[in-house]
Amino acid sequence: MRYSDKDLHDYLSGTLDKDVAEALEHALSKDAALEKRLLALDPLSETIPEAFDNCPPADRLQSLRQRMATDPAWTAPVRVWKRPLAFAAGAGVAGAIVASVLFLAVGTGPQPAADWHQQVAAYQALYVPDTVLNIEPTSEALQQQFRDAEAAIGLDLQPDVLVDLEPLTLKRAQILGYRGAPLVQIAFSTPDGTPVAFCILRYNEPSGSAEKTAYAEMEGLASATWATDTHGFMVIGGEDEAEIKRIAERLVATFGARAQDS
Amino acid sequence: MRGRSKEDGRVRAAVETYLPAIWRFAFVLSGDADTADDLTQATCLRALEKAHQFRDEQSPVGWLLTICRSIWLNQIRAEKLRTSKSLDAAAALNQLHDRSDVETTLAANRVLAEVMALPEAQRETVILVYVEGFTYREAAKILSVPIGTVMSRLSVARKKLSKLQTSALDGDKSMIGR
Repeated sequence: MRYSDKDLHDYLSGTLDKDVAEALEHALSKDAALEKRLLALDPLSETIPEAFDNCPPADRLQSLRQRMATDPAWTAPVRVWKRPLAFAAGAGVAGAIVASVLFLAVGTGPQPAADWHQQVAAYQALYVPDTVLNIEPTSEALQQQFRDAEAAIGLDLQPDVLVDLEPLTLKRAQILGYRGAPLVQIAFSTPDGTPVAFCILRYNEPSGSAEKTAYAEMEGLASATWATDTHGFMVIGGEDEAEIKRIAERLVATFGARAQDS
Repeated sequence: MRGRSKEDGRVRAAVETYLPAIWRFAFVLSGDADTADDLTQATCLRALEKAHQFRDEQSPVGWLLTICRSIWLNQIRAEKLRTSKSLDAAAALNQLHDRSDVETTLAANRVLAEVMALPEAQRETVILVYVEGFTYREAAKILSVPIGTVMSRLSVARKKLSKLQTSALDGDKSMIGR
C-alpha cells in the first residue's frame, strides 16, 4: 500500500484511523524508506535535535576528556578486568568506579620503541576524516590542551610551530598513556581531510641514546619516528610518504634538539 | 597480545568519536550532568573491558550506548532512586546552555524540558531516534525491545510533545532568530 503524505501527517498527529495506523506501523517495520519519509515530515525531527545542539556543553566535554586522560584505568593498557563495578552515589561515583576496577597493566618499565609505535599506528589506523572533521576548538581550549599536555610530558610543545605546520590544520592535543607513561597525541588534518597525528611519549626512564629518524609504513600509514634520550616521537597518517617526511623534518628540527637539551 | 591491542585501539577511537553521543544519552537517562559524566566514564571503561566482544559489523555508537544503558539500569539508576535523586530536569538544563545567549537558551530549554519530562522509556527512545538518528530497528536493538514498542513509545511521546510542534512554528522559533 502506498501511503500519502497526508496519511503520514495524520499518523504523526495521532489522527489516522486506528486500523490504517496499525498497517502503517507494520509497513514501517519493514520499509526503511517509508520511515525516512515519515521522519522528514515530522516537525520534531528538527525541533528536538536543535534543542540538543549544545549538549554536551563544550567545557563539560573538555573536562570529561581531561578527566579520562588522567585516569589510569583508561590510559593504561587493559589486560585483565576482574571485579564488577560498584557504584556510589553522586560525585563519588567516578572515584568508586576507578577504585573498584582492577586493571593489570603490562609493566611500567622502559617502553620498547617498536611496541609503542605499533600501538599508535593501530590507533591511528582507525581514524577516518570524520574523526577530526568537526573538531574546531577555540583558541582558549587549544591553549589549555597544550598547557595540560606540556605538563604531562614535561616538554615545550611549541604550539606556535604546530599551528603553522603547513599544510596541516591543528585540531587537538590530548593526553593518552602507554605502559604508565604519558603519551601526547596532537591531531591534525590535511587539506583533503586525512587525519595525521604527531605523538610524543615521555619515557619512564632515560633510554641512554637518541634514535635517528626512521621512515616506515605501519598499518598502511606513512610514518616517521625518532627519539631523544627522554622522549620518543612519531608522526603518522595518510599514505603520502613524501609529505610525512617533509612534516617530520620540520618537527625533528623543532623537537629533536629541544628534547635532548632538556 | 597484538590482536588485543588492536581491539583496545578500536574501542578508544570509537569512544573518542562518540563521546558526545554517550554523554547525551547518559544525560537523558539520568537527567543530571554530573551523573552523566560518571556514567559516560563508566561506559568508556566498560567498553575497553569488552573490546574483544566488539564486532566489525556492529555500529560502534550503538554498541557504546547499549553499554551505557546497561550500566545505568543495573548499577546507577537504583542507587539514584535509593538516594531519592529524582530527575530534576529544570536544574540539569541550566547546565547545558551558554547563559550569554538567553533567548536561544529559553527556546532550547523549553524543548529540552519537555523531552526530559517524558517518562524514561519514552525519553530514551526519543533521543535515539530524533537526536542520534537511529532507525526504529536500531533503536529497538539498543533498547532490547520489539520495533513496535519503539513506534508505540514515539507515538505517545509525540502526543505529549505536540505543543512543541506548534510553538516551534511561531513563538520560540522567532526567539532564536532575534
